[in-house]
Amino acid sequence: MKMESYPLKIVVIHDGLIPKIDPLLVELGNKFGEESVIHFENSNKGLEYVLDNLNQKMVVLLDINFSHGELSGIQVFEDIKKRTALVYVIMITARSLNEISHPDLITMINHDAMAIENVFNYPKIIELVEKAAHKMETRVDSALEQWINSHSEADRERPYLTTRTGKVYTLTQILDEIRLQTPYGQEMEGNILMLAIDLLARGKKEIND
Amino acid sequence: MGETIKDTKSGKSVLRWRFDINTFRLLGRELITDRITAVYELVKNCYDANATEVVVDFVNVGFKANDRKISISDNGIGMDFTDVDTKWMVVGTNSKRVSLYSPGPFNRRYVGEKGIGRFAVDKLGSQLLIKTKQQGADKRLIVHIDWDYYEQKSVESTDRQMSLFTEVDNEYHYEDATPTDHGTTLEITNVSETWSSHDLERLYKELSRLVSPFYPLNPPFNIYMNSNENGEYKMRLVKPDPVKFYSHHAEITFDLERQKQQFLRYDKESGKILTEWTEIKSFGPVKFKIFYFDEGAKKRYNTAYKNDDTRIDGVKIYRDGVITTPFAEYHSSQNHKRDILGIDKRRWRAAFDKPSTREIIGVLEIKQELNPKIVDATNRQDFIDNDEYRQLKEFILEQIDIFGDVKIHDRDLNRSVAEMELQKAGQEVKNFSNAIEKIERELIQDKPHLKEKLEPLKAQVQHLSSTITASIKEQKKFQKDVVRKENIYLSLMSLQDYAANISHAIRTSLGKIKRMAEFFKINFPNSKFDRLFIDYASLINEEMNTLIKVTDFMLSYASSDVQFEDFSIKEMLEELFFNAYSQTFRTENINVEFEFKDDFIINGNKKFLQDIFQNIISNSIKALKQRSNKQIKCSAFLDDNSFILFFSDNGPGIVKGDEKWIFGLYNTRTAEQGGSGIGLYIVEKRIEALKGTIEVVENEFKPTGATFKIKLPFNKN
Repeated sequence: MKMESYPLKIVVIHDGLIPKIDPLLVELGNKFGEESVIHFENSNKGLEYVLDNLNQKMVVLLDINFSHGELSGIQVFEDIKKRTALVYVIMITARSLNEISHPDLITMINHDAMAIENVFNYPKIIELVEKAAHKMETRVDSALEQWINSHSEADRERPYLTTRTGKVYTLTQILDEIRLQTPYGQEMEGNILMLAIDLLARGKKEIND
Repeated sequence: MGETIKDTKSGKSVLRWRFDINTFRLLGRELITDRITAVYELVKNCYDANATEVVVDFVNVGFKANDRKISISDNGIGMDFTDVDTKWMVVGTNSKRVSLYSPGPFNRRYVGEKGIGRFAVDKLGSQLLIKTKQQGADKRLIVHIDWDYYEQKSVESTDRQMSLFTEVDNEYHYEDATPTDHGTTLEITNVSETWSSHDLERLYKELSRLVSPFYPLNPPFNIYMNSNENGEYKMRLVKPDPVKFYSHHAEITFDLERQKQQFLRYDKESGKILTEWTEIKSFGPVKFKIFYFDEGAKKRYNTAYKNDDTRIDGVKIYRDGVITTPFAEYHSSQNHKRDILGIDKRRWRAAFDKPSTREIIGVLEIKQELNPKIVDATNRQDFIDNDEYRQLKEFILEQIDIFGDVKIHDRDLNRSVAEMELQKAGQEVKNFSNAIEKIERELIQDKPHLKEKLEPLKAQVQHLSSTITASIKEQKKFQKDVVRKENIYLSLMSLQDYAANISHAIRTSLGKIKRMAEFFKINFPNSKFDRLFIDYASLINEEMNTLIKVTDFMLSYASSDVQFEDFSIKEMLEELFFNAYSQTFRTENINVEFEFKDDFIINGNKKFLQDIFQNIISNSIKALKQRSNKQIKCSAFLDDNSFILFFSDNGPGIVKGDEKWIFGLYNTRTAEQGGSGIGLYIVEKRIEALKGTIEVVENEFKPTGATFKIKLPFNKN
């Protein structure tokens, strides 16, 4: 039996879009599947969703201005980045770049906002989401996820790794740790990459060998 | 991270860092723009290292000499080898800091920016000796860093790849030291620029802002400035200048036992500022000192401080005696200062009467323990935008506004004094003229030759008298003109606000239209999207209609903003209630009561007054949306010196405590239903422009409802 892989989620947090039928939402649904696109008009609710679903592959499209009483786009952005670097955030706004304050721009650059794009230009936004999705597929956690999916359920639930402290992890748990960017997850991510390079360097191209 | 190795040639220990000097300098120039900032940042680091004393020492820096030296020594916790190796030279960003507080027992909130020290040192000079020691260690670590050498290596390297990362060895060794000693000294030589006494003064002034001028720091943080060339700086303790020359001063505090917070109130009768007590606010108790400088005070101040306008610099927030990070940055020019609390932004919005940051010195004290919700944002540019901080900002602005009332009071007083003087002069000239006439009548008969001499005198008095009368008339006309201009200006100001908001709305609308049009362009024809094409077509149409409405409204301003006319308020309101809104009232099922006991003719801009009531009426319609038995009532009458208007609905009413707040710009509790917080702001400003008032009073309808009382005085001058 094959495990359902975590589908890519595209979370759109923006209060200037036409709910449900905005061309941006329609085209995203077309490209990535309607069930993958989730739209929030309220930034607080959008942030809550993102933080509750960090174990998923996610691209966030984020507006900068929200109504008073809601978190600003920059705050949402900072809060996401505080928890994980694995979620790609694309800022989309009706404002022009020179209307965004310098401190805000600095924050976006320092915390690796993937792009800042004008909401007028939806084909460009779709392009960016495709790029993000591609980047995501080639990442350690996604590669691991694919590999896990090729194994049986029994294999997946089998204790796979025991740490020095004696804690036991299954493959699925390792994936979650990486996605949630826990210290163990980060260490594991590094180790996997190092191992892969090591194997490659020794001419052992197929890791499954 | 560095690498420690033994240099085989010299036998000395070296610490090896690998990085690109060019990128490093480029980064540094962005972060540290001038020498004052450089020293300021280094001193902040001393604070973060739990120092109680810092000495900033300048040796021979006043002229171009080879032995110029700047040293900064503190008695803080010092660094060990690993600290220097892994922290001091590593390019870190502030957000990577794990803890926000310095080690105990001080637990100071960090004010310095992590990883900025090396850039600061580089700005000051190219050779650095770090001497550092932690308590208990038996040796002092000495590291020598030579930026010139780094640069030279980088230039020498012909291999492009190599030049990206230059490996440089930094010598280090240990010296014997007393175990109880602790602290860090940075000795900078090859100082790049000369420091004039003016530069030292600027630095002194900047350093004096680090610690609160009023509430002592415990444990202390004393900064001393020393110079071997300038007699003024002989181990001079840096302390804030006492605030002098201000014209008004007020101070509020709190009482934890009674759980009360003081606030300021302006007493219109006496023109004095009073303090009163209220409940402690959501942001916690605060102490606040405000010094206000009126025009005269500013003049005295500028004379005393030679027009150094960076001293009167608005409100700053200190936490536990130390400046909070949004205020901790040095700016060489007042114009580059960020208006963190929005004091000036608000001022241009509300025209003349709001005090600006250049008229006020304010010190607001908070405490970590008592104000835990006021948190510095990680980018250090502001505080985290939560309800508590918003309320604190509002509170600060309310306190400052009190001085706006003082400003108005003083201006009116000056005006009436000038008017009275003129009237008095007129009277005196009249008396003089009468006296001459009397002399003429009584003496001329006996001494006719005097008549000839009196004639020119009489003519002069007459001329004087008519000049004064003309002046009084002119002055009155001028006053009227000022009021008129203020009104126009105010209207334009509110329009400016409106424009800022509306342009965002327009862009959002245009964004939608553009996306839909583009969708057509890309996908049409495609039967899969037929339904969407139809929806989009009607949505584009709707958005266009909105845009037309918005631009029409803007145009109505363009054509009507300076037209003043006499009109009846009653007629204007009848027009609104029984023509413009009658259809809406019918479809919304709203029962309207209209009770006008008297009428009032007003000279002003009819369009503006209409806006006031349109705003209020449309608020009521929105408030009544969910009600079954909908009521709106408008009543009016004349009292002794004003026209009073009550406007009520039986909606859910205004939340207690919000009665004043709702008139602030962008303050809205109905954001979800599209409220932008502009309407009531404009309403209040326009009524104020007519010298009237608007307030929320006890609701006429029970059990729920909202009642506004509008008061327009008879003589608006």
